Amino acid sequence: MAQPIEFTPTPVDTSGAARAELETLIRTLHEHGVLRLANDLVATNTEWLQILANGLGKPGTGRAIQNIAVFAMLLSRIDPTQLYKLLSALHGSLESVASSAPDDTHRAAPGILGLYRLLKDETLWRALAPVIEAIRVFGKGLDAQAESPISAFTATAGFAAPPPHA
Amino acid sequence: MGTDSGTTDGESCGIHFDGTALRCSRGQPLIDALQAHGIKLPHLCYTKAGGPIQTCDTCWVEVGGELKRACTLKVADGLEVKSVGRATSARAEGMNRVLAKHELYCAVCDNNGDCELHNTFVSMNLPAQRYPFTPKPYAKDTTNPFYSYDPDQCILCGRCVEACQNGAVNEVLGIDWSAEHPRVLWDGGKPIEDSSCVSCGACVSACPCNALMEKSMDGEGGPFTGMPQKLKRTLIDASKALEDTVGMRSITAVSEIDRTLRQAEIKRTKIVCNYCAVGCTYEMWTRGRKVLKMQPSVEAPANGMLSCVKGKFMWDFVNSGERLTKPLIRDHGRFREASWDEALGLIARRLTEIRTQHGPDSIGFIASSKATDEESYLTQKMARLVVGTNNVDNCSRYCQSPATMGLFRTVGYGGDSGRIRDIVHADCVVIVGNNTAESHPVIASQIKQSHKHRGQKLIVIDPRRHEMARRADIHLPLVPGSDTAILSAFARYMFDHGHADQAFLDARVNGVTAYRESLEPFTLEFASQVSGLPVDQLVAAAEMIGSAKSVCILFAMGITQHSHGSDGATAISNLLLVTGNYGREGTGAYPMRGHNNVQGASDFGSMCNIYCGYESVTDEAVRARWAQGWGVAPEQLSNRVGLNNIQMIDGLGTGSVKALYIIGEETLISDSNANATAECLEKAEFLVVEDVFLSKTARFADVVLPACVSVEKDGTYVNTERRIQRSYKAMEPLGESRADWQILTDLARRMGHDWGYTHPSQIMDEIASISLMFKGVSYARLEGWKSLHWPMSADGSTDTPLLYTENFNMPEGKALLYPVQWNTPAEAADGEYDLYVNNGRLLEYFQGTNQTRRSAESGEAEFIEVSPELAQARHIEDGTWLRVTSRRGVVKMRAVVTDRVSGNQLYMSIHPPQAEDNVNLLTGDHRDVDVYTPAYKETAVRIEVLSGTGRKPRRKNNFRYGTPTPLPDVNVAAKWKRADYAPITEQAPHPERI
Repeated sequence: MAQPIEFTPTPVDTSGAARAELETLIRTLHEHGVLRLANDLVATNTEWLQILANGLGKPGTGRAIQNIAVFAMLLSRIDPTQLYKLLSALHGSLESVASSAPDDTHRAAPGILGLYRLLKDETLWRALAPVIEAIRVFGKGLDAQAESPISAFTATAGFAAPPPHA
Repeated sequence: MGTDSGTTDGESCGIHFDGTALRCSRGQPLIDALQAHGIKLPHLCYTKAGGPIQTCDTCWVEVGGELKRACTLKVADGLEVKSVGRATSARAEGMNRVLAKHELYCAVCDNNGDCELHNTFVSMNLPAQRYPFTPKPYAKDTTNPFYSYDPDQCILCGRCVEACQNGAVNEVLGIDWSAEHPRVLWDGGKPIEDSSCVSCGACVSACPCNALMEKSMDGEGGPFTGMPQKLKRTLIDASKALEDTVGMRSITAVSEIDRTLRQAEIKRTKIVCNYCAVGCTYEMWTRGRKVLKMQPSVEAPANGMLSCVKGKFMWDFVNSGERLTKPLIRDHGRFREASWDEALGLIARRLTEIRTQHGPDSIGFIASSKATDEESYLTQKMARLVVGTNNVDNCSRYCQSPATMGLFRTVGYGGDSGRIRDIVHADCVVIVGNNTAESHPVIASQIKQSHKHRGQKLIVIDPRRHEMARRADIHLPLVPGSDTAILSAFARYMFDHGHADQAFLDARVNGVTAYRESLEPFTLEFASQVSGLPVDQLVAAAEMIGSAKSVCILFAMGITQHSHGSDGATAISNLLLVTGNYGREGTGAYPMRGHNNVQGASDFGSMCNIYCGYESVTDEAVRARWAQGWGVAPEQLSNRVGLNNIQMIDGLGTGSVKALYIIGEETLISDSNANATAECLEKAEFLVVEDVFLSKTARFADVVLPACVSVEKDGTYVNTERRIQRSYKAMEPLGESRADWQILTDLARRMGHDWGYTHPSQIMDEIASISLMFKGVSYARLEGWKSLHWPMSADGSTDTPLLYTENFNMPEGKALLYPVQWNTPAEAADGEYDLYVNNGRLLEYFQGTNQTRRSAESGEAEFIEVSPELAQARHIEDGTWLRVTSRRGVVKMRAVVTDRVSGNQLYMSIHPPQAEDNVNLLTGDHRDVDVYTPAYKETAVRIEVLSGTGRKPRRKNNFRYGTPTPLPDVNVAAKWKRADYAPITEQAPHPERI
C-alpha cells in the first residue's frame, strides 16, 4: 500500500541569471575577439602605455588636448540657440557666396582712376553682388528671433499647419 | 484577423510603382504586393490580418493624380502608383500627427525591437517631430493581471479594436471618436478588470507600439528599461531637450543601437502551445529563462494572430519554484531526492523483476497527451518492445475515444474531416456538447467571425447557455443524454423532407436502406419527448441544416462522455452522410480534441489495440513489419489487445496489474470516481510517474521522474485538424529535468534496448520508415511554420487537409451508415439523487491546473452553478455553501446562481484547486459500453444547503459578468468627421533640413 506523500522541491534559481549573464558576456566577448584584445592589452601594457605616453608628451598632442578643453569650456558657456543662429547665418552667407561664380577678368590693381571706373563698372558690381548679399543675409540671420533649431520646423514655432489631430 | 490572409484570383498582372514595372497577384492588397517585391511602404494601421482601417494616414501614395491610402488599394491591371513627391509629404504629415499622440522614449521602452511605430518612423527618416507630444488626461490602466494600456502611448490606430471586435470577436474594445480626447475603451469605458475582457491578448499582439503591452515585458525588454521610472523620466526629458537641438535622427540612432543590442540577448523560438488542441503556434520571446512574451504570427496556420489567455499569457509554470528538478524515490514513507542513475536503475530493476514474476501484461503504461508525437511513439515502443505488452493508452480514453469509434464506424479515420478553415467556410456550423468559447477559444473566435460577418448559421445543441449558445441562431438546450435521439431524428427528417443527398448516398455510401429502416422510431415527436425541446424548434434546426450548402458539426465531451457516447458520435457522422456533408470544403465532422497532443498520442501508437498509424496489434502482417523495423522476431511483440487506461487502473485494484508507468497524466483527478481511483493507486506494487510537478497522482508513486516542459525540448505535435507541427526548444531544461524521450531512451538502454536517439528527429525518421500512415513525414518538411495533415503521400509531397474528397477510408472506399439506438443514460436523476451535475472546462484554467494555477488567481474555479429557478426553490444565493452528494462521494462547494444552467441541472468545473473539490469524487464507474470512456456527464446528485454564506466564489468583476459592446468596425468615418480633423489632401509644408 503506497499512501500519498508530500514533497516540497527546492526551487531552482531562475532569476538568473547573474551567472548566466556573466557566462553569456564572456562568450560574446570571446566570439568578438574582445577578450583576445584585452589579453593582449593587459599582457603588453608597459609597452603600449610607453608608446601612448610618448605620443601624449609631444607638443602638438598637448596643444590639441588643450584646445579641445578650451572648446569644451567655451561651448559649455554658449547658449545652443545662439550658436545655432550664428552658424546658420554663417552657413546662409556662405551658400550665398557659393551660388555665384567669381569673375576672373579683372585681377590687376585698378588705381584711383581705375577705381572710379570700377565704381561705374556693371560687370564688377555684378561680381560683388553675391558678397554684399552674403553680408546682408548674415546680418538678417543675426537679427532673426532666436529659436531652437528643430522647433523652427515644428508647430511650436507657429508653423502654418493644422494642430495635432484625433 | 484570423488565418485567412486575403484572397486573390491567383492571376498575375502588371503594375507600375514609381515607374518600375512589377508583376503581382491580381486582387492582392497593394502593401502586401509591394512587400513581396521588397518594397516597404510605410504603414501602421494596416495589417495582413486586420486589413485596412484607415486611421493612421501614413501610407499615402498618388494614383491618377490623387492621393490615396495605399492600404485601400488592391492590385489591378495597369495600376500606376507614385510614392514620391506629394505622397512623401503626406505620409510625413500623417506620421507627425501620429507622433503627437505618442511620447517617444524608445531606448528605455520595453517594446523597442518589436515596435512597428519606431521602425516605421525611422524608415521615413523624418528630421524632426513637427507637433509636440500632448499627454492625454487619462491614467495608465494596469488593472488586468496580464497586460496594461497606456493612453499616452496610444496612437488610436484602432488595430486593437479591430482585433477584439472582428478578430477574436470578443467585442470589448472600442474608440469613442466623439470624446474630447479619444482613447480605447473597454465595455464603453470601464477599467479593464471590470470589463468583459477575456484577456485573449489579441489586442496586445495587434498593438503596433507599447500602448498595449504584456506585463511580462515590464522592465525586461532592453538593457536600459529596467531602471526606475524616475530615472527614466529624467533621461527622457534630457533627451527631449537634446532632440530639440540635434533633431530626431541623432536620437533615433541611439534607439536603433539599442534595438540592435536587444537582438543579441532576445531569442525568438517557434513553439506549439501546450494547452488545448487548437494547435496555436507562437514565437516565444525569451531572454535566458525569462519568458518575455508570446507573439502570434500571421504565418501560424491554426491561429494566425489569434490567441487565448492561456497560450498568450500563462507560462509562469515554466519557471515555477515548485517544479521537480531531481528524481524522487519513496523511501520509508517519504520522498528523497536521488540521482538519475539510481532512479532509472531502480525502475529498470523493478520492472524487470515484475515482468519476470508476473508476466509482461502485469505492467502498464499511460502516455501523456501533452508530450510530443515522438514521446508517444517511444512510450508504446517501451511497452511493446521492451516490456512485451500492449498495455498502453493515453487520455483520449477519458474523452475522445467514443468520437474516434463513431468515425471509425462510418468514415474510417479517427480525426477531424478538415481544417479550421473548413469550419470557417461552412454555411452552417452545428456545435454539439462543446463549450467552444472556453474550451477551444481560438476556433470559437473564427466561428464568431464567420457568424458575425459572413452570414454563417450557428446551431448549438447543449444543455448550458454558454457564450456560443447565446450567439447561436438556434440554441437547443436539450435534456442531457438525449443527443442521439435528436441527431437521429434530424437524419430521418432529412430523408422525409427531401434534404437527403441521394446522389451522394448512391455513389459513396453503403448501408443506406438498413440505416433508413433503423430510423423508424426517431420521429421528431419522439425526439421532443426525450429531449424536452418543442417540435417546432427541432424542425427549425433540421431545416437550417438540411437547406445549408455545407455543414460542419463540432462535438466534444458533451457527446462522448456518456454511457453510449460512441453512438452519439456515430449519429453525428450519420447525419453528415445523409446530407452529403463530407469531402467538400466547409463540411465534415470535427471532434474537438482536448489536449495539445491527444490526437498525436493516439496517432503515434499509445493505444492498447493499435501500433503507430492506427495499425492493429492483432494483424500478423502489421506485427511482422513492426518487429522487423525494431529488429526483433514477431513473437517478441504481443498480438493480444492490451488494457486501456480504465482497465489498468482497475487492474491495480484487483491485483492483475502490478506496476504502472504514468507519464504526465493527472490520473487521480482525471479518472471518474476519484475515491476508487485513489484506492487502486495505493495498491500498486510499483508506480512510476514522470511529471513536471509533484502532481496529486505522483504523490502515490514509488519513483517520480522530473520531466521538462514542452518549451525545453524539440518535438512535433498533432492538433485537432490532424496537422503535424514542429515545436522548437526555447531554453534548456530546468535543473536536472529531462525530456520524456530522453528518459525513455535511457530507461530502455538499462533494460537491454539501446535505441541511441540523440534527437527527436531520429525518432520521427524511424516512424516514417516503418509506419504506413506517416511515410513522408520528416523534420525538414515541418521546418518553421510548415505543417502536414496526415495522411500524406510516401514522398511527403502532398498531405490531406480535407479527408474523403474521393474515397472514405472504408471497404470499397465507401462510407457506412451505421444504425444506432437511443438508450437512456446509465445514471439519471431519481427520487434520492434528484439533480444532475454537468461538468467541463473554464477558459482560464486547464485540467488539473498544474500549469495554469501558477499564473491565474486561484479560487475562481471552485463553484457549482445553480439555476435561478432551483436557487429560488432551495433558497440558494451566490456564495451559499452546498454539500453535493452522489452515490460515490461528497464535495462541498459554494453556489453561483446563473442562467447558464436551467432547471435541475448543476455545473462544476473540472479544475479543482484542491483534491477534495474534485468533481470526480462524484462521478461513477459507468462507462461507454464500446470504448470504456467514463460517463462523466451522467451523474445524479443531491444537494444540501449548509448554514452560512461564504464569499462569492466569483468576483463581481469576473469577465463573465461584463457587458460587451459589439461594433462592426473601428468607425474611422467618425474620426474624419471630427472638427479638429483636417484631411490630408494637399502637399503639406515640409521641413527639408535642419
